Amino acid sequence: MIVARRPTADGGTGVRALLDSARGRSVFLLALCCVLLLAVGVKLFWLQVMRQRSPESVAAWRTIAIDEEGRRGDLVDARGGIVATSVREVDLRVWTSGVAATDHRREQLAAELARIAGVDPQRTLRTLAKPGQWVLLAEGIRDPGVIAELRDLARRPAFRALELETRHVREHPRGGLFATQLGWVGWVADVAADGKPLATGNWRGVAGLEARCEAVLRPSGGARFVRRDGTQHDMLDPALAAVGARDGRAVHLTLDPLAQTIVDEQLAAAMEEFAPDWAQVLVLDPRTSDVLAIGQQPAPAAPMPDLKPLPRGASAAQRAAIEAENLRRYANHQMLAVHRVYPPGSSFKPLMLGLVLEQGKATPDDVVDCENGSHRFDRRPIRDTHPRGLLTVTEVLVESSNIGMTKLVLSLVPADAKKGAKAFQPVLDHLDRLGFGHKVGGFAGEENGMVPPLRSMDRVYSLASLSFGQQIQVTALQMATACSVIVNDGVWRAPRILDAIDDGAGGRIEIPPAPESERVVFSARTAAQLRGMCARVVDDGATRRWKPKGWSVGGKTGTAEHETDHSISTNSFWCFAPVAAPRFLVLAVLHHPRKGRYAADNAGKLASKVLGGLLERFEVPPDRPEELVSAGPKAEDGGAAPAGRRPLASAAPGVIASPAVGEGR
Amino acid sequence: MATPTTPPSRSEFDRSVFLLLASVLTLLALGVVMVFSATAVEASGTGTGGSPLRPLFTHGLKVLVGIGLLFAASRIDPALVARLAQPVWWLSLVLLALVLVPGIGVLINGSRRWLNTEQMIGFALQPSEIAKLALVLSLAAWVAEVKDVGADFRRTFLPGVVRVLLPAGLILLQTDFGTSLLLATLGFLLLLLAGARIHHLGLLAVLGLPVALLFLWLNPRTEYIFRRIGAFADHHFGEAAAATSGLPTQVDFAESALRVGGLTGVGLGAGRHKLFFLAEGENDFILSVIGEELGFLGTLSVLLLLALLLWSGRRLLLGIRHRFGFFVAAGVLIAIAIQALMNVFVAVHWAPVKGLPLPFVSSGGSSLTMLCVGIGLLLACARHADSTHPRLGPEEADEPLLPAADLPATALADADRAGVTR
Repeated sequence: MIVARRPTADGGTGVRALLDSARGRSVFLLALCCVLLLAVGVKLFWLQVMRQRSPESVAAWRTIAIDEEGRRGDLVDARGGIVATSVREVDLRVWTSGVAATDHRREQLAAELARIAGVDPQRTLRTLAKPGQWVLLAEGIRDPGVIAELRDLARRPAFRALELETRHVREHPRGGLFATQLGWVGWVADVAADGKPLATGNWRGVAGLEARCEAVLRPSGGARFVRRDGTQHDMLDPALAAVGARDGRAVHLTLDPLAQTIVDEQLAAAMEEFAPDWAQVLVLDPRTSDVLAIGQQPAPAAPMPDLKPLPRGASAAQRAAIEAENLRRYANHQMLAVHRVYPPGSSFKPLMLGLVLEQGKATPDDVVDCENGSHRFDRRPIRDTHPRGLLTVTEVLVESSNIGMTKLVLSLVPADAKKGAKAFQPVLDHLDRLGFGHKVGGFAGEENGMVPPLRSMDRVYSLASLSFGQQIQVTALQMATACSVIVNDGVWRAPRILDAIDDGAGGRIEIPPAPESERVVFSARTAAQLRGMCARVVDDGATRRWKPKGWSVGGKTGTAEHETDHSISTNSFWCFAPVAAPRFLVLAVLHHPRKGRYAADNAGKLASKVLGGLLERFEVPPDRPEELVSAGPKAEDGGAAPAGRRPLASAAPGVIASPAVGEGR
Repeated sequence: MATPTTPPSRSEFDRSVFLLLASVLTLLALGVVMVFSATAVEASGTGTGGSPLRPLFTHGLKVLVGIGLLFAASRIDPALVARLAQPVWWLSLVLLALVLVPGIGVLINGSRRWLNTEQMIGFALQPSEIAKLALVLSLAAWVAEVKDVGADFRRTFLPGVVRVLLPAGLILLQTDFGTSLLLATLGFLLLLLAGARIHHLGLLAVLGLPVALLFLWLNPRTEYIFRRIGAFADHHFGEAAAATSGLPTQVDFAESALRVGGLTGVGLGAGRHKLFFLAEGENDFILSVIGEELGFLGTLSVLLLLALLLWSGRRLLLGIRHRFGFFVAAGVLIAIAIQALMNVFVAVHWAPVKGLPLPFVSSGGSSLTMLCVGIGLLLACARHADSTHPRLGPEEADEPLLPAADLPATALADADRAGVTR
């Protein structure tokens, strides 16, 4: 057989000739493959050398800082009961596209969640059907076993899109008790330099004691540094440091659950009986100014306001209605004792009288002409509800004579003192020392109250009004603390609500008093005189009918009428017992009660009931046991004696006792 | 110096054999180390008590078996291989069909590509790897028989095409698109080498491609192919052609591993992407593991070894004078080249993910042993380069041989002047 080469178009040489044979084509093909391999080499050079990345910049090498949030500290009442605590909860979220690859995987996840956490599998499948979303699959999981199983599930390569989010939820084991005082924890956004809120932020106390104790309760954040493999397993690396999180410390409060329960019970009864717009009761231990209970009505059922959400597409009217409702709900969470001011009325008289006694302008037995209930100071007429003539200073307080008090207080300032004169400054200094006109509790949003400034002080209007508790607005906490001065030998002590903090080692660190938390306002002698006079007020006044039998009680009522609508009044009564060694000071304030015109009729009853309950339940030894023997069966209203007054036992010579003692204004 | 198509001398032959074996054995050794590095942590079961040394032993065993088969195959007479070529092709078809039978075929990752032979031979046999070698042998035997594949569309070209399409179709039914594509490419390149006309191949492409695309479109199990193509398009052109999860993909981790490696790598065994970030790190993406741990120097070494393998194989190829041996050697080398290119193209994201192992380096017993057998057969054909056994077909000349009677007188004169033997 004769064979010959196939002729080529270009004379049998070059690429064309090469490709014309199988050998040539194979060589060309293999050479092309080698060239492509080298081209890949060039790409690898570009990737690996020219665009090299540092290991820490890629997920597989990155050191992950896992923020570890400590537990917020507990709030503990005076009896060691936890009233606010933090519980760890876990929410389970998923990036739906991360598990949406196949129906099988979705069904598998739904079945696993149903098994582990009892989540409805149909709901899970419906949720997973929407790709490209972060959605919540389960929330509020607390069982550690379930949480551990969910963590294992999230580590499986197929379910890497699952994410467990841990948070601490504030719980209140005692329910609504102390709901007003505790306040709540909320998300507070960080603020940029220009004042705009940022996306970052922190959970912190935003109201009440949660806010006030924030610095102590707040846990310090820590971090654990780990490296994770592709299945989200943490890998041990001893070289990586960790900064441990520190739990917030527990704060021990002076609030006593028994006292609070008594207050809440009596407040509820008073609301039903007297139907005021609002009412509040404050209980202090006057020796230390420890706040034992703060009650108010209307009161929130829980520390956190339950706000109505604004529905999408709500009309302006609906929106306004919901916002108004939410404002009302917020208002219920205001702690009236520090957030609302009221005119103290005649209950203020002992505090002004103390200054008169202290400055030696009068003694308890000095006689004052009360002008038979009507008198004009310059051009200002002042009247007493119950006209009296000559009364001793003690009787001026017992009878609550505005004219008598005005005369006594005006004696503090020269008769020719002009408006805004420095002669009024000692009076204002006295009010300042008593804690009026500035915050005393250290609560967020606490009111300062209102004290007339020096420039507006004159004799017949400002000073005369101050003598019977007008032209001044106080908070209940200011008032109760000021009244404690009388029972505390003239020493003003700042109210205490924080008793101690845990030292982290099982011990307690007592919270020391602030540098300016104690000051002398009266001498002990003056304070003793005032205590005796206040005891006379209760023994001989209209509140005697409510007085707890077996204990001596001192106190003073105040009925402050509204400036224009005289049918509206703010009635208050503060009292303490036993008089010789007071254990409790109770202040009750009722605004616009529908039953009882004077404070003795409603506030007096409320405060006395609370005081009686405290003395009894705290087992304070009676200092007048004879009253218990003579009291016999209790009267219907809880008091042993009939309403009204008994004849003045120590009326000054020449003074005719009146048949009944009413209330000053 | 010899021209590219000139047969090698004896010393060149010995040197080529040495270089070929050296490159293959080096790649195998590197594979043992890197497969061990990539799978040791996974083998230990992340705390479930498995032995991290298990992959070293299992892959090492596969490599030893492969080397044994390589040397055994290199001793076989090519004439015997040519006689067995067609039965082996039929056997491969039977095995490919068996894979589709539930119970016999093993379903892994949604694909049925393996026979349930784990208990018998220690690993699941992948018939598609056998089909690659069977196709090369079958086509080589056919080419040796018909001499010019392109001579007649129906009688010489179509039987060759059937030899390609049958196994490729069966593999496509397993939803192994990558191997099917590799097989089809390999088959048509061999047909092209054997003289198939371009217009024949074009006609086939016009008729066959729509059918293949329709099959892929209608088969729900091939959804992953479009997803991979979508991800590839998304990576390069920015617009998602398929719904993507937003989470890093295999290819992202592969690229990240390469870039972390830098010039010299983070150190052997110290890579982190293999810790369950990079799926199939011991198989499809072993180049990325090498790149992370041994750096650019490591990946470049792999590429150079592959290039050396191909170039030394080319020298042996040119020395084989019979058509069967020539096409067996060419088929083996082209199969290795295509598989290597497809693998590294995926690693550098020049191609969508296909799931093909890196020749001689990746784990995967079927691929490794069949490639070793292929290299052994290449050596066998090279050793019997001058055999004139009738089954091996006529001498494969530098240029196609034509009967002298068919040539014009001027061409005969040219042939005389060029010294072509009559």
